[in-house]
Amino acid sequence: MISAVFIYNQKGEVLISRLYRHDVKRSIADVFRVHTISSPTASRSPVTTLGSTSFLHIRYDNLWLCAVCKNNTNAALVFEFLYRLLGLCVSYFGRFDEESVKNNFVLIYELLDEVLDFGYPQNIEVDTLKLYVTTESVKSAVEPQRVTMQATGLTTWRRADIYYKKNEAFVDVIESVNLILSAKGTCLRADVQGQIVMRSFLSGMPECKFGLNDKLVLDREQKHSGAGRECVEIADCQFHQCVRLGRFDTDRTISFIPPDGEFELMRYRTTENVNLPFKVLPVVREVGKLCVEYEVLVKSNFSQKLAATNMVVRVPTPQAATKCRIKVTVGKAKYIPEENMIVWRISRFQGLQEASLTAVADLVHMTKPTVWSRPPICLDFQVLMFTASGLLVRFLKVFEKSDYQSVKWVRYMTKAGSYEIRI
Amino acid sequence: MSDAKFFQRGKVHDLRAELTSEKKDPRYQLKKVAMKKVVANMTMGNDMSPLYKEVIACMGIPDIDVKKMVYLFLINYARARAEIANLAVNGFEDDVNDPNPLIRAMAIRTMGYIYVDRVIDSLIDPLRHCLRDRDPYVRKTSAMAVLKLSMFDRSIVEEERFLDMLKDLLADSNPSVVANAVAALTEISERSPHIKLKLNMKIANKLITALNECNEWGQIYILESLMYVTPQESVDAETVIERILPRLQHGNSGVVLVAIKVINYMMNYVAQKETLEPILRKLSPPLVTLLTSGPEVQYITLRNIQLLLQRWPTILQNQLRAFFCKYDDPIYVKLAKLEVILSLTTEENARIVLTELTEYATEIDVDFVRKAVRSIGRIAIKIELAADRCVRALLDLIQTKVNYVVQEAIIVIRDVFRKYPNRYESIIATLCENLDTLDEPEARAAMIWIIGQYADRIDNSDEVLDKFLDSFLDDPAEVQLALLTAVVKLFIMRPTAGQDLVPKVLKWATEEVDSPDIRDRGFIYWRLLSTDPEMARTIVLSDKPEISAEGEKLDMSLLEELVLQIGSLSSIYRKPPTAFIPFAKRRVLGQAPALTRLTIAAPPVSRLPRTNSSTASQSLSKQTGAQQQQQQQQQQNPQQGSEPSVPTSLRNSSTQLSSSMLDMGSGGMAGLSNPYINDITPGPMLNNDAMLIDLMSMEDEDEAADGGAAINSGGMVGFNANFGMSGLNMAGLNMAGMGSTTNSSQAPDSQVLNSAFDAAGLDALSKMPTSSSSLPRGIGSPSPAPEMMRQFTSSFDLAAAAAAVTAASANSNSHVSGTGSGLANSSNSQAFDPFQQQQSQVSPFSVPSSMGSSAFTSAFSPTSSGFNALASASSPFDTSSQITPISANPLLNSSFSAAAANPATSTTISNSAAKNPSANPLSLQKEVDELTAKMFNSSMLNAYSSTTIVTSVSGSSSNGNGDNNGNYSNSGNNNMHAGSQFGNNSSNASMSPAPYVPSQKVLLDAQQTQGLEILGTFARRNGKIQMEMSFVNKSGIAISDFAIQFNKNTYGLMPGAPLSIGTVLPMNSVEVSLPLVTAGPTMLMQPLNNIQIAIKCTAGIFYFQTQYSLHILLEENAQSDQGTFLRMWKSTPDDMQSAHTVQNLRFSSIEDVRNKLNMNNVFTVAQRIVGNAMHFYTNSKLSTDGSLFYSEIKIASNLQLAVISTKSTNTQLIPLYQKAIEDICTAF
Repeated sequence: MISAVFIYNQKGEVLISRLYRHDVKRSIADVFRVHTISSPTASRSPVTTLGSTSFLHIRYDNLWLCAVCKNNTNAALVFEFLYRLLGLCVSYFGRFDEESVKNNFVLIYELLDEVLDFGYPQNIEVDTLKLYVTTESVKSAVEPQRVTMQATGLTTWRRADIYYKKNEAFVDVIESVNLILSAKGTCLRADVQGQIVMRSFLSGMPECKFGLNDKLVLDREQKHSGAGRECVEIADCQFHQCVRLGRFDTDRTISFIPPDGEFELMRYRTTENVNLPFKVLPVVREVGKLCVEYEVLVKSNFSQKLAATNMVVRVPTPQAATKCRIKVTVGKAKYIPEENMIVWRISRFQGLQEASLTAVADLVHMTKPTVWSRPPICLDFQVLMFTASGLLVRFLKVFEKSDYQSVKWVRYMTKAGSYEIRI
Repeated sequence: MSDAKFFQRGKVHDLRAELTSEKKDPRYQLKKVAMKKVVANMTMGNDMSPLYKEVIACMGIPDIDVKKMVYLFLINYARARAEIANLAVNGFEDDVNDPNPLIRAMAIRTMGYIYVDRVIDSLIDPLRHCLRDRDPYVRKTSAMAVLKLSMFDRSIVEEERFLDMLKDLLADSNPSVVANAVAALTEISERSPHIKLKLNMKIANKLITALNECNEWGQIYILESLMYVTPQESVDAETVIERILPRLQHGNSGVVLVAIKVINYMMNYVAQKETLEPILRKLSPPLVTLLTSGPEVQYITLRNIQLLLQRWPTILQNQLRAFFCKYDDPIYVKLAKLEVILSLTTEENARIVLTELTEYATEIDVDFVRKAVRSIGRIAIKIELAADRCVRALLDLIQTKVNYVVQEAIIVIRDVFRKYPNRYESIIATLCENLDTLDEPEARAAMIWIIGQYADRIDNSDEVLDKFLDSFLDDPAEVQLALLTAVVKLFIMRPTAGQDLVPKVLKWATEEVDSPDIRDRGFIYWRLLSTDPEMARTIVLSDKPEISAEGEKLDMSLLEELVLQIGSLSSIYRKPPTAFIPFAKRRVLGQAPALTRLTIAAPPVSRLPRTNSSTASQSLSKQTGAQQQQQQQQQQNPQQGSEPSVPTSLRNSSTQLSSSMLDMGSGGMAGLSNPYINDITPGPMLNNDAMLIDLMSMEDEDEAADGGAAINSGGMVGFNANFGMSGLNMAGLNMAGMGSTTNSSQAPDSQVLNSAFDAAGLDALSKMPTSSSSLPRGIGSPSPAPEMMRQFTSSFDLAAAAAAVTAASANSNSHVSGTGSGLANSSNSQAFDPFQQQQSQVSPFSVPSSMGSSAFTSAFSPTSSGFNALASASSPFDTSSQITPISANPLLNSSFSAAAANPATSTTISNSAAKNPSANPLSLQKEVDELTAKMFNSSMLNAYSSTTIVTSVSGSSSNGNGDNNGNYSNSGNNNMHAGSQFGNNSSNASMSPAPYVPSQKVLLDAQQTQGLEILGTFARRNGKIQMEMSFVNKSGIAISDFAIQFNKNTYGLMPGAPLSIGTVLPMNSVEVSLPLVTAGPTMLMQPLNNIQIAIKCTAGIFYFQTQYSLHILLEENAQSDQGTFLRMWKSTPDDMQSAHTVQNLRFSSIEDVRNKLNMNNVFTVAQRIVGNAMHFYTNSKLSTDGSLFYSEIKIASNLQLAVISTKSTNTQLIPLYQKAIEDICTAF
């Protein structure tokens, strides 16, 4: 298990150091700095083992979170813990950077004492922790016994005494489309990673049931109703710990008591029938050694009623490029030499539209000719009320003892994951 | 509110003032600020411990924030300064009784962190209460505290019955408590040597029920504990699997991976394949989903997928695309993905994969690009149908002219050439365009191999090689070896083109280069070429063993162990946890009736069948069927009598073997370039393709010999252990294999075979025989020695003598020659003797020069150089006049004179003649004729040796008629071994213990002594030291009036009786056992066990020196008891200790170790098993001065490797003592 946790800043200075076991000393922090942070090959592996000591680290915004282990620990557990610790800090202080760590170091120590006991992760639910690990401004008036029941109980993620005047639940279906298109235009890989994020503002202990147009569920229902409906084949899904996995396994019902506020209810993955929101047809020619010509055509492939926002097309240029002459039909495009790319921004892109970019990059003559590795064109966008997988929320039912009425909202969004078009 | 301002160095006394300030502080704000400063300084690494009094004073403040900081302070400093902790005990005692459960729990938690006796003592009672506290939060914290306690002192936990209380908590109503109790129990059992956690199905079911209610971490702990359930019936395993399958949908990757681990574990106990398939299908999607987690988790997943793919080749079918790399994946993820892609490549998707890999090959990261290029090559080798396309892709990549891409491509193309000879030669021209860009050794070596292999198709191959040769002496060994081989190939294929290069490179290789490998290979080539160019052609240009892509596979037992470690660090490193965690326990599949270890075979189309030994032997047998037949014939020959058997069959087989050996450094190393084994840390078993194949060819031979006697893994281990040795040793090994083949025709027992391997596996560098050792025996044995072997043998020794070959080559000489005699002596088991001889010889190579300057010089030849002296000393069949010019500078003779080899041939002939008086004189004559003709035909013969041949032929035939038999040394051998354990080669060659007697070695050879050859060794039998000698009269006149005298030596050894030998008749030998006493005058010798002896007889006075093994001086009945041992071991300072590693032990069992050591007065005081090793604690006493030796001998469980640590007050003797033990351990 975890013997120590360190947080370093970019320079490798220790901001937080908490030892849990006697098999490591504080000085082990320097070992990691020397071997990993200051090493040029720093990011070659997230796991470093020196002798019998293993360092597992993640990086976030110039900070290094490092867990030290002396045994053959479950590496996935350690990384999950580090991710979770990061999330915990973010939800406590709003962000996680050197300044916020220094500003809240006492609190971080308190949290670290609570979330890890002898290196074993304990309860890391923000909701519960906020009951008894508090910032000075927020004093908790909850009785200790209640706290302990909460921290060890069945629904560690929810307090019992929540009350809202207006009971509301928001469901966001956020899909990231991953695409790798070969230079010849064949689709090498297209899949959708979906996230269902719920914000629940519900009183008491509500029992929720949630339904999607999942193929497996619909198949079963069709046997009874015989109605043919659009359905989606989900390759795999994962749930928040509040979801009763046993139930899901037996009858595919997603039932749960939600935590209060925002949480990620489920994650899913589909690989079949992905509706790609954009098609990109690039033509990139290296003309002689001194010039590269671009013709990039982007077509939107969703309903005319919808629109993509914050669209960015990144077109790579060779390192030797000196200047670019660019013409675009929509939006603005700019050559950014330090990133070796042309960045083309389109604030709003209506459905079933086309836009094109033509550009010529002039190259400086290099004494030592280097081959251009031709990185892919990358797209970034958001399309509201569109799901690339075709997934729809069919229902969200809320049952509570007091039998109140609740209002439910659903929103769909598709954004670009890694949307790469090779050239 | 910002605390960042506290992050500045505070002075201790300022902080002290703040902590003790008397200012009004009703809400403790000032104290809190002061404590924050203390904690901030602690974080920065400033020592705040002087403040402990003031800090502890704050413990009573009823503010939970202050309390938490005080606790943090205590955890940090209490261990270093026990007084701090002692002061705090009272505060803790108050807190554990606090009505607030949070404070109670915090106190228990903090106390557990403080490993100070007083705190721990005062923790025990409250802990017992808290384990039964009504608050679950306190109970779960207490469960962890028990674990902390057990890490401090295991005995407390057991004495105070905390374990039982933990077990009770398993039935707790609160799932968090259950989870923590499970976690604590699991770790306690992992770390305790005598507590073993075993859960039955009843508990397992309860735990699984608790799973649903636990938080995610608790689920991990509970799932982990299911690894301690051994299902007794298949249905149990199925139930567990079924009930935890839903965990695969969990959002925490830790839960998912540990669930996969448990499922995989349980799958070993499932009885029916039909049950497994749906389970396997359910494993794939979660694995792919994990690839959407953070990059770190992706990395872990990918590494584990690799393991799972090998265990279950069918999972993740059709999921290939999920593993395509994104442009911005971190490099570690990309590299890991590449491995998975390669594993998933099948004939159907090879095309897509290739396109993808070609894409990667243009990316920026050099490692990634290289690996991508290499992967293309692997696919070419793995999937024959895709080979064409792969080669085209590689050619395209070469056209990019990106330096490292080109180099990498050339390396893999070399492998492709190996795999598919005569298919892609058309691309050589393209390759040759890139010669100038090659600057990496591996790429250069690969290119050179290609040029050499196709020297006859590349028009200017000689020019190209010549260009490479420019930097020969500066090149790394890898390139030098490749060049050497390539030049020789060139010469053989195009003699005119190569005739200028070969002498140059051979001269460099044998004279200028330091690496023994290169020199050895140089000598082999040189001898080969000078002896028989035709033979050289068959050897050098023979078919190469096939290479396959299976090198990336893990060993099955390792795989099984690693699959039980899924998700852990061990699975990432592909190493068992015992390899990097000191206390780790091995995890094995628990034995149960239900244990089935079912596997589901890969679909036949998608993978090549594993090239296992049987297929290898089949394919080989197609090629060499004729050879095998011949071999079989040859197997029978020795039984029919000691007739000279058909040498050609052996010649062929040796051709085959040695060619693979000779080419090993270049093409043969294909397996070594395999990048897939483990790129983070070297894999535990770097099984090398080429090696394996080589082994298979040996196996093949074995099968041909005795109709399929299976080789067991022992031989394999011996082989692997030898991995680092030079090609020459491999030659020795191969030939040893052949030697044993002959033996096994009589006693088909794989043990014999194994021991032969082991014998050959002697570590070249640790032993330095004087090169004379094996020759006389080879000559002396009444053998139908195949002349090929013999030539090898003797030319080797000449070579060794001639050009001051290092120990390694000398050693391999003995291997080869040993085998020569092994082949020869199939009728009387002395196949192994030479090895043993060689073990007994301890004289380091520096000795000859000192010998040269010593008083004994006169006994040797008059040459001044120590090495030459040795050379002549070691060549009993050479007149010094003959050897000296050759050895002085053999390579001056640029026409490749066969001179050096000729004496060898002559010996062969004389041997076969002399030893086979009963043989048909006609056939004998015929063979001699053949040989002579061959020599003449070779046109490189010099007049010198032809006379030798003639004379020896005539001489020997007359001898053959005159004497009854010529096997003088053979009878000697029999006598010598009469009392030893290897009197015969029957199947129990695995020895019954007997005192270790090094085999006799030549003390004086016939040249220096006008025909008297003396062999000898030292032994201790029944407490008496003896010198056992054989006197062989090779002169024409009888020798008599023997007397012996010892010079003063370290331990005063001297003859205890006069040397009682009468007259030794010509061509006769006499055995004598001379009792020795240790009462003589002493003088410190260097080395300590050196002894100088003079022998007087009618032939003159002869001086020589030799060394004895120290074990002859060890006293009987000196066994000490454990107490004494421990006392002495502890009292002897560590600087009087020394450790020594011994390989290739020859023990049949642990029992055997003990017996053997005891028999030689190394007494076992105690023995115990530690992990994979058996530790022996031994003592010995020197009978002369009573020096005591205490050793710890760690012997690996495979009985192959030992580490001897010895302590003695007499540190000078430790090396000799260890050497003696080593010899005992490695003797037969």
